[in-house]
Amino acid sequence: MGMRVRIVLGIFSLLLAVCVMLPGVAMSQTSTADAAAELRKGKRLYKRCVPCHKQDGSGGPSYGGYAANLRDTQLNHEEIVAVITDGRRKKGMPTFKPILSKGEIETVAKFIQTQFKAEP
Amino acid sequence: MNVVWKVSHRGVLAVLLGMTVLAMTAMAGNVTHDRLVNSENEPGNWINHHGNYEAHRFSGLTQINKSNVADLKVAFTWALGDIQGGGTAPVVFPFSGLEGTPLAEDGFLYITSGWGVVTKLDVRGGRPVLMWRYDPEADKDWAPSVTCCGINNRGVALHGEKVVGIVIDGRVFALNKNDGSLLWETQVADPGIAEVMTGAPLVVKDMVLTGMAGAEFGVRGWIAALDVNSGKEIWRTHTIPGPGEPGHETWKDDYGAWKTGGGSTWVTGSYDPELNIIVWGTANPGPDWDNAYRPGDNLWTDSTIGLDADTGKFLWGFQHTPNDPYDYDSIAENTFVDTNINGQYVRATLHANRNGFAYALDRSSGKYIWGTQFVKKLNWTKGLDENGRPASYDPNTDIQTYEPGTAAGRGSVTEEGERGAVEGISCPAHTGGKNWPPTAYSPHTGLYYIPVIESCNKAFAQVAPKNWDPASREWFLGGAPYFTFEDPASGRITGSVTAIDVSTGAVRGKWETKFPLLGGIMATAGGLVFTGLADGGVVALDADTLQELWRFETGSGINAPPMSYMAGGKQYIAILVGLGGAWPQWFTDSTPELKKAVPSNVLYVFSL
Ligand code: HEC
Repeated sequence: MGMRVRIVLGIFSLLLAVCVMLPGVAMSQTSTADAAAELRKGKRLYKRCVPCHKQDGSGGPSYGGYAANLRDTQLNHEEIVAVITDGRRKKGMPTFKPILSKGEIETVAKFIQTQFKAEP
Repeated sequence: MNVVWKVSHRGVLAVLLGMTVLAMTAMAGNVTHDRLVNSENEPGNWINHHGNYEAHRFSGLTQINKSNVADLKVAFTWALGDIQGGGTAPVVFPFSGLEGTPLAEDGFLYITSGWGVVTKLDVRGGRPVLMWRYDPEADKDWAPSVTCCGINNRGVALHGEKVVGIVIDGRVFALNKNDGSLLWETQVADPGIAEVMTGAPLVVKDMVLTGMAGAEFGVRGWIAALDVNSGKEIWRTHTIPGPGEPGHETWKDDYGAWKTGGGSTWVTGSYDPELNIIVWGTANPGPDWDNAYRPGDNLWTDSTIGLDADTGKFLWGFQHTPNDPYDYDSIAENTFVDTNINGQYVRATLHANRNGFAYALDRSSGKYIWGTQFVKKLNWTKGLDENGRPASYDPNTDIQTYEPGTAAGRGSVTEEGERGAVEGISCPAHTGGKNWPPTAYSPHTGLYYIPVIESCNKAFAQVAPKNWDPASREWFLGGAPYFTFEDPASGRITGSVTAIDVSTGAVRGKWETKFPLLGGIMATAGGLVFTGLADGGVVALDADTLQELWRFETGSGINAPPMSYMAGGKQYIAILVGLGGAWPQWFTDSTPELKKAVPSNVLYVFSL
């Protein structure tokens, strides 16, 4: 890659970063359409968890391990994100760091919290 | 059929081959018993699921050989689609894959997808033309919900002018080979009690034989024979003996564990027309990890069994892993070889087990001949004894623990549903050793080629509820296995093609792979061994040295065995590409790179 191309790309990615961040700002007044899209995305990402955690999040024994019941997890958002990111190496919960982006992990964590985790 | 002759007088065979090829046009279209028995006489066709009744998966074609395989190119591909997943609870599969072996007859291919859709292609002109496609329209929720390991279908069988297929939901059907119209259909397995079907049917004389799956959900396994002309059931033999039958006493509980004790039969068996016996493998006992639920040896789970072909009568059995606490099915194919072993002429049947050992038995009696460890990592027993039993088996107990630390167990826990106190780390893992992807045997090299999975897993037991009802359609595991590549105790799972010298049982070589070997194997008279890799490569190895001679990257994952056929005077190698099944669902955390694999259901065909 030549120097010029690299500089142009650099500027481009800066612009891109700004563009990507803008919707984040707008999130505070999330429209129902955005929320629905986010839910759909969460549901799609959660497919990776279904073999072990089951469709309703209840977990239990399976051919892939004994997964936690996400419906009564005591973990908060940061802790859930951490478990999905790093897994629990010796307990059968895989790490998703290599295959899901940070944003995707956020989305699926929120999905668990809004769809499964009992609200106090 | 004279097997001795086939193995030892190759020159004569070649002459006869030539004659038969000439005579073939006359026979075309009508697949008779004689043709299935003597399929070696028509090497341009692949009319038996395992290549021949002896399950050699050996192609007699020589056009593609060591000297020219480097020039092998894609001749064509054919997209099968049928990628959609299935199941609701307790099991959901996001997509389905391909595990089938295509059949070939006179330039026509018969291929199945995971949902049991049968496609007939005319490939006589070297390019594929669709003849017909038959969709049995499996319900996408009902059966897959009680399927442990993917939406799978391993192929069809041929009889007369018919194609016989199976559906995951337990139906067996026959089609008119010429137009794909339905002739009959019979519901044989019942997904209502967790019985499903994935193995290719086996045609023997005027019967079609089928096994079933479901040993993770509390079934009692069986093999059934139907009239191939009407679909009417002729016999059905359970793998677990009922009250009064020999072997029943190996279920020592008083709550009927035998009724839900597993022992399913989901890989196609082999047939010996001279002895008129069927040799078939049986799956794990259930519940898988709570072996205290089923004290005793649990016959005939984890076994190779011999049945009378006409009546289904049980003749003999050989159990590999008594009172199994590891989920070490003996499900894999059984390969017949007639040869001198350690100086004595025997009619042997070979089998590579999930437990990491390959076995040779006398197939007229089930008597043990040799056993060889074919994996590098094996910790559950200190070898086999002189009768082929695990050396660490304890005859003084009804609940086996084998080598300490390898089996999960209840420990002091007794309460139903409670997690057992003892965890186990076993090598091989419950994936095997060697799973269903088939071995090959080359009469030219005398080698038996095994697709190997080098693995360990952790497991825990859970006290299973008594009087299990399979109609509940829930997991009946009595615990669970788990592993991740980051845990040093289980670690990454790799693989190999391992070659065993049949005449001695000794390991002769290994060709190692980064990922578990999930494609099956085919050996050829061209001195080659073909296989498919979990990360998408199709490779040809030198059958003598296991040196890699050719490779093509499909960019997907392979979980199906290669086969070979001839059309228009040209040899082709065909393989189905599309990793579905158990691996992406349950085991990818031991092979992290495979998590990114994108499903694809495509037939690849290669030629010079
Ligand atoms: C191979 C099976 C498997 C898969 C796939 C899997 N998990 Fe897990 N998960 C587990 C197991 C086993 C545990 C329990 C670990 C333990 O005992 O500490 C667990 C625990 C968790 C926990 C911690 C819950 C708690 O309260 O402690 C969270 C959160 C979680 N998983 C989220 C996910 C998400 C999100 C996905 C999909 C992106 C996923 N898991 C996929 C097996 C799996």
